[in-house]
Amino acid sequence: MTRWFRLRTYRPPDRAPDRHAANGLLLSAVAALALHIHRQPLWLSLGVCGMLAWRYLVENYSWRSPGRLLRWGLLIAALVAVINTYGTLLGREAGISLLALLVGLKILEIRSLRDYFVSVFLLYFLTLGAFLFSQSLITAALAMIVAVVTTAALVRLSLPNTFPASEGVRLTLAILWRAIPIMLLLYLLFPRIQGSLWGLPGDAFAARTGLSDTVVPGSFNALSSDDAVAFRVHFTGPAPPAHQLYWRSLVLSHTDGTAWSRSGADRIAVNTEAWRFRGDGPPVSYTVDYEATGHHWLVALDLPAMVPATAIAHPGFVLEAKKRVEQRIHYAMRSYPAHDISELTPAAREFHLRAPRPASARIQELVDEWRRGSDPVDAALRFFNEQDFHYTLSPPLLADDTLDAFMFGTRRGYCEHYATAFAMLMRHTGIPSRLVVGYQGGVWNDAGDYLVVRQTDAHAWTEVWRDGRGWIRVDPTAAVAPERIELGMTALQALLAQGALPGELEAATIRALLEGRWLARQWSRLGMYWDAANTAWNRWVMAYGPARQLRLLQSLGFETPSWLQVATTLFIGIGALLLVLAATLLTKRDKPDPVAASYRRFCAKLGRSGLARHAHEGPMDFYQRISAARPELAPDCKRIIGLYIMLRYGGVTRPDFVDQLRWRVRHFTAAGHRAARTAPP
Amino acid sequence: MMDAGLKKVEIAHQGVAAALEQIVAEVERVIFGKGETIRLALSCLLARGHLLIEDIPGVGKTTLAHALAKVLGLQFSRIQFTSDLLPADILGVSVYDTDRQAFRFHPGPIFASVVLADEINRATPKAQSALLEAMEEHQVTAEGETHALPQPFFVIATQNPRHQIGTFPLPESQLDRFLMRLDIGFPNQEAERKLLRSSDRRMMLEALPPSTDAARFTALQRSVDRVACSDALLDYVQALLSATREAGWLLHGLSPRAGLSLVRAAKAWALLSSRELVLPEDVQAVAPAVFGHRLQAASDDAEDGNAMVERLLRLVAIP
Repeated sequence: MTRWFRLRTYRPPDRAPDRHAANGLLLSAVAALALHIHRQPLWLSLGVCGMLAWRYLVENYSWRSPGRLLRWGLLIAALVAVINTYGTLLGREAGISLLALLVGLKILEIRSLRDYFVSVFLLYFLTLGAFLFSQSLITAALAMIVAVVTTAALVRLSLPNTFPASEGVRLTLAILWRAIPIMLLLYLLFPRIQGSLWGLPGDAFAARTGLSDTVVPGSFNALSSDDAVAFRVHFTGPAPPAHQLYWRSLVLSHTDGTAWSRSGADRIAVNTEAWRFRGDGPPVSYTVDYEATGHHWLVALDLPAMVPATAIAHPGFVLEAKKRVEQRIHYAMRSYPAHDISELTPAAREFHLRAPRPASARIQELVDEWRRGSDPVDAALRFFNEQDFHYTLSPPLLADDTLDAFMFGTRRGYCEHYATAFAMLMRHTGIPSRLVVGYQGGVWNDAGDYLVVRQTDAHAWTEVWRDGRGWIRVDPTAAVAPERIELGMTALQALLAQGALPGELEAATIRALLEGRWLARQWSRLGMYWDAANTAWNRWVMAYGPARQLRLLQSLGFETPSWLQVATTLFIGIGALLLVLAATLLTKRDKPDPVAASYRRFCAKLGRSGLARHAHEGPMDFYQRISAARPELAPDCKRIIGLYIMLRYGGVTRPDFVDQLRWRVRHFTAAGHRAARTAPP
Repeated sequence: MMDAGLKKVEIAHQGVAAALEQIVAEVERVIFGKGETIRLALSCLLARGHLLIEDIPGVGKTTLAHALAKVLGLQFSRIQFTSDLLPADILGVSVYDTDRQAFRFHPGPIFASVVLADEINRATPKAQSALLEAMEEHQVTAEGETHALPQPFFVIATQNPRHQIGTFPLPESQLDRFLMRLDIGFPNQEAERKLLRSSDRRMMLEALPPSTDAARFTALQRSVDRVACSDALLDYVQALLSATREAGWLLHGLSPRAGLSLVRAAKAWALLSSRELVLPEDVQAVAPAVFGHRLQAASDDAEDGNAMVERLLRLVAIP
């Protein structure tokens, strides 16, 4: 513990930093600037780089520094340019741009050691500024690297110019390593506030195009090409099979014949339906990390058996978040994949049979035929399966009577087309039906053991009411393209991209098509690891917000912690850490000499075998006694004692000799044989 | 690399080691079975210190002093101390030279590189202090004129510890001026037999070839200064010193000068052992000779100096 804290202290240099120190500062300036380069206008990056380049030429090629007049001119130009670009000097973007320009100007005008230090601290601020825009894992990692580089530049400035560079890097890492407890303390105890002091980073707000409240055939097109992650699921037990992974988000019961929606009318009608069902089989427990969508609807596996604290329940087993999902949220859920529902009021039955447009003659003929059969639902699914229907992500446009045109005309489409057509057909047949919108499937991440569901996995299916059995999930897409359900959307897209026609493929062909190239597989594996790392970062680092901090403080004994108490705890914690650090620095004289410590260990090893060194016995005398008593140990002991004498009494200060001594003592055994015969370091 | 350990410990300058070995070997041709004593005496001279030999007559005190001077190639003179010895008998006198109408200084026997002060405790304190002052100052002042003593300059004093009647034992303050005090002791059986067989001491001394001269010996002395003495070793020396100051069985602790003497003697001893660095063993080897005459027991019936030093060495752990 004390070793860990101990730090060598050095006298500050008594002369100006040399060009290597200046180049170090320039390097860290470039690194800090690189953190922001993709958010800054090009003129700014070029301008600051130009100033840094000038400084480089001044330091290395004896160029003249800019005069006072030129510096003032540059400052005014920078201010004007920032105002011209952003319309203000305040705010996040303009502020960071201005800071970057000021860093360039400050470095350009460096004269004294003090200017160097001011530049370094401006660079720390610029690095910190990256977190105003993004708090992702990659930003944190890059900012950490920049912080190391900047600290190395600071260390180089604080040391004599003759100090070896490698030692400076080692000192930098030693300093940062010792800063870790303070970093953790600040992370845990710095008062967290709801929202943010400066406004949240942009990527926390980024609302994705999610599911919408209205479904028109063809509206999912935007989603099917959106590769963004919708949510991630960690299952407590084993994950359910693929064909059960129906992630329910919205239930649409109202239709105008083409579009399906939640209109005011359906709420009143459906509200009578109770949130009751009987679960069959064991429940599935899981947690959902739901990405920011900008709307209220949450997802749950069919069928949710609980309501998270942050959500309210709606009829049709729909969960609505109490607040719009504008940040990534995390909630725990429990669902019963096998279920049975048995309640439908007459009013609700009437509502779920509404068909605004009368069926065309061909449709009427078709549904009449199904009605005559024993099971119209089966008949309809068979019809989809046996007739010339195809799954495609680029369906032809539909004419005015959508249903008729689809059923007897185009017969090309994806989940929405099939789900809306099927629901409409069921209503014509006289079976209550509704549309369910959500996601289906997902890709399992081996690296993090969780399921990733993307916007491409968006799906629509239907539920039909069977008397005595309740609402039954029917997925007509599965009848047309079973691969969509069994393999998932990602695999299906891969098949479609290779020109395959889903629904008519042999299993072997599918496997051959999906096998892909080795490089592509490795790439996707790498992607999985990256996603797992990001997810862990979001779940464990970013998720520590006000609520978790409150829980931590309560567990520390504060019942209703105030800002003041938290701040006091923080300062006491930091004070205690610094006291420990100071104490270890001040008691440095007690530091055990590694040479003496190794020799003591060596003597202790010999002592255990009966050859204890007398306290007043010198190393040479001891060696004479050892070689007389245990001649077989003499060669080893000769080397160890020789090294010890040289290091302790010979004024030799070679770290490699110290390492060698330590190594030899570690591998020395008084039992007479050496434990390892590997070469010394 | 593998054996870098001990090799580095060995002396780098082989010439110095060989020269010292030769000196010891030459002296041993006259003084049998006393290698340890010869080495201690030589290290005392190498450390630019004065030597006090304390033993009964006839064990070879004078022979040792004479042999050292001869082998080192240094000018030798002998002063027999008696109760009527006057300072001028040691230092020299100024005599009026009628031809030149001026006083002329006639240097006394002290003007030699190796001065044997035989039975120093027989002379009066006045004569003793004349010698001791010259030892300290390395110069003689007579009639307002200062005369430098030759370089190098050693005093090897002998005294008889017994038969103290009519003698003036050196006070502690004067004893402190000697870097070492040695006793020679009786030779063992083998050495004594060899001694009895051998020819006349005086003839043998005459035949001893000098191994060095004043300049070369001064160079050897400078080699002593280059011997490394680490902080760890000084820690040990300081531990020894503070042990004497805290020990209840000693009348008083040792002075910083005693510590300085110990380090210098240990350096010379290390060089004699062909090493360019001082080990605790070197300190232990010279400590009885350096500390022995400086320690005084608190009680009267205690052991003699050397035994007290041995006891001290056993008590103090090497840090």
